[in-house]
Order: sequence, then structure tokens, then C-alpha cells
Amino acid sequence: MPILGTEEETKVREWFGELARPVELFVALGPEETPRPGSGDLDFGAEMVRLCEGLAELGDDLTCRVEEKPEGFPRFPGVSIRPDGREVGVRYDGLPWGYELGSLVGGIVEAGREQPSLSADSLAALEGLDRDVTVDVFVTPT
Amino acid sequence: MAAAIEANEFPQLSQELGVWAVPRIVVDGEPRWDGAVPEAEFLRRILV
Repeated sequence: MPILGTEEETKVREWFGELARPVELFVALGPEETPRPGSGDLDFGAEMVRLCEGLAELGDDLTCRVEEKPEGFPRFPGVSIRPDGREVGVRYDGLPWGYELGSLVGGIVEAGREQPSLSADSLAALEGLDRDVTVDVFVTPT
Repeated sequence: MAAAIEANEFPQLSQELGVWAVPRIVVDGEPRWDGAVPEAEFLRRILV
């Protein structure tokens, strides 16, 4: 079953065709929490693999790698978005389905840029950081 | 580090961090705010 509709797939292929550098989706599988009731009777790990492998088929510079319980993942399934195959600390925990698939696609496109799309002021503020900062954004598929 | 976390798949963590509305933004393990904000405001809030 395709992961995107025809029009969406065409658009995503265009975006992935413009990646300026290779991007790897590193999928981490492992023990999963019992999801909230009503979240659906899904094998979240298997769906994560299907989703990421499906996206990787839409771009020559996008690859997908799957590992069981790799280091650095606090929860499973997870996918790390890695420009040039490097861990840069950008991750999606849980299955990015529904509208959240757009977040994963957006993350891939951003990782594939030569330069970040953030404003000059934002980049300057981030360059001035003298400590590590961890930002977690809780979302739900809609 | 930056992560998007699907709240329904991690209900225990979501409960610990009081996730009742999304998006909920947590910085260095501390819940900070709910809702989307523009880029400049986002940076201002996480760098406080």
C-alpha cells in the first residue's frame, strides 16, 4: 500500500529531488510502551519501517537504515534524521502518521539543505549558545 | 537535541509532563508552553 496519494507523492519526489546532500533516516526499533487506548491496534515499529523505507524510495539521496535497540534512543520506535549520515540530534519518537508525516518530510528537506532555512537572527542567537539545549515537542496525529 | 514525540504512543511520559494539549514544548525536561509560535518567539522562549 503506498504511503502517499499520487499528487502528494509527486510533490514529495520533487522536494527530495532537490536535496543538496544525502539524508539518512535511521530507524530505531525496540521495546514499545503500551499506547493510549484508541491509538489503534498497530505494530508501530513495523509501520515506522514501512513509512521510512517508502519515503526513501522517493529520493535518490534519501536512505533508510533500521537497527534494533541502538544507543542514543530513549524510546521506540524512533527515527533520527541524519544529513550526510551524521547524528545531529534531530529525532521523531513514535510513528509520524497523519498530518505528522508532513513534519518528517519537512525535517528531511531541511536536513538536505546546504544552509539552514532559519533567519539570520535565529542563527546568530543559536551560535551564541554556550550550553546544550534539549527541545521536545509533543504532538498527536490528526 | 530536538525531538518530536507522539504523545499517544508514550502516555506515561506524556502524563509525567502534563501533556493535555499539543503541541506542548518541553525544554531541558521542563514544560514551557503549549501551542505554535513564530520562529523568533520560539527561539526567545527556549533560550530564556
